[in-house]
Amino acid sequence: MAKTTFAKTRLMAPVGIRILSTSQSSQKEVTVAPLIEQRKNRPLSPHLTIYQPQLTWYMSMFHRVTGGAVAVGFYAGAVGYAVAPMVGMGFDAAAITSVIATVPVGAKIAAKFIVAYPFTYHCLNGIRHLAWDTTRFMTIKGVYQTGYAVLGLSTVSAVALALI
Amino acid sequence: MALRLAASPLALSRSTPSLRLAAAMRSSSALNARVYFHATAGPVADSQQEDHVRMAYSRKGAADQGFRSSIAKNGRVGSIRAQNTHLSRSTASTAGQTSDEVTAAYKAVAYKTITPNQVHGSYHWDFERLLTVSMIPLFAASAIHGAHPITDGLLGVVVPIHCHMGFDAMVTDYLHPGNVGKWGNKAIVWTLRGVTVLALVGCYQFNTSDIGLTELVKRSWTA
Repeated sequence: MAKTTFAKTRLMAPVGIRILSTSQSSQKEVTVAPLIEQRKNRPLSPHLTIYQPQLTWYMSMFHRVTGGAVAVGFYAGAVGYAVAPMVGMGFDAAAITSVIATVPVGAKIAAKFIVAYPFTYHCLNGIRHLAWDTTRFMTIKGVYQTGYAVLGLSTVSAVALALI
Repeated sequence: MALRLAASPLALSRSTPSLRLAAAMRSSSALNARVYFHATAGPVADSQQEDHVRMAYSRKGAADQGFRSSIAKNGRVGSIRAQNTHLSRSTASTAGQTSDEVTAAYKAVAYKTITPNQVHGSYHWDFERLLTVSMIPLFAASAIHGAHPITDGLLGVVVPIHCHMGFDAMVTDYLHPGNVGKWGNKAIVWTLRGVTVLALVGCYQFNTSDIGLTELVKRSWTA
């Protein structure tokens, strides 16, 4: 009962109607915590699943995903090297290269492509972003042309790197 | 449902016609309409009007100052007019109030506004782009020339900072206080900072006491 009254007066009021009170103290009772609890239970409207697939936002999403993936790998290596002595784990360049040397050639090429492609895609798309920041290619045609260029170049260079 | 001020019959009977009109407009206003009060030059208001107007705002110290400075600017508080409008701030300038004062006066309790700061705004953007641009010749030099203490050292600083800013953007987008709470967001942001510091330390140690970043990539790639 108290909860629904609270909900009607505090949380479920329509947008644009300001909840005002005539005293200072009751303002402090209105906190953000109930709003957060509401958001946790509320379902999201479909967004990624219903928007028409387009090169623009697919590539933007992939830019963030590849950036996150490469960064997680880099952080894992760097932080691992920093804390390895504390946990008594042998983690240095010699150990890494000796482990990699034991892997079969085919698996090595596949693994190198899987590691190289996010890196080349993120690098080349990053250059595309920097070009946008200088106001270049800021047309539909420019975006699509540079987009296809990045996709092609990143695949080719990743294959080239994997075969080194 | 909204204003106790309007709902109280005593307040209604004592209020001036303009305020009753405002109250009526407010309670019957459409879903997205906003009702604004602003002071205009005119006959001096009585103290009761001032009290009603003050009670109508959610108060902070700035709101008081905003209202008083607007009185100082206009000379007097005139008749308080209410307007039903879909637009936001066009009436503020006519009353001589800055948008900051209006914002402070009408501040809702459910959110906090942030004072703009170029360090977190355009300077952050500039720094991010400069760093990213510097990575291009750095990676090129590293790939062409191979291991070198200066390029390895710079890589060990520039790459972690670039990763940190990317992670920070993802945290701002997906793990903000509205999602994970004020303290959840704080914890995540400070954890990210700690991990970045660890990564910087790890890179420095690797560059100094081991073979260096470029040499590691070269050897593990051709292992």
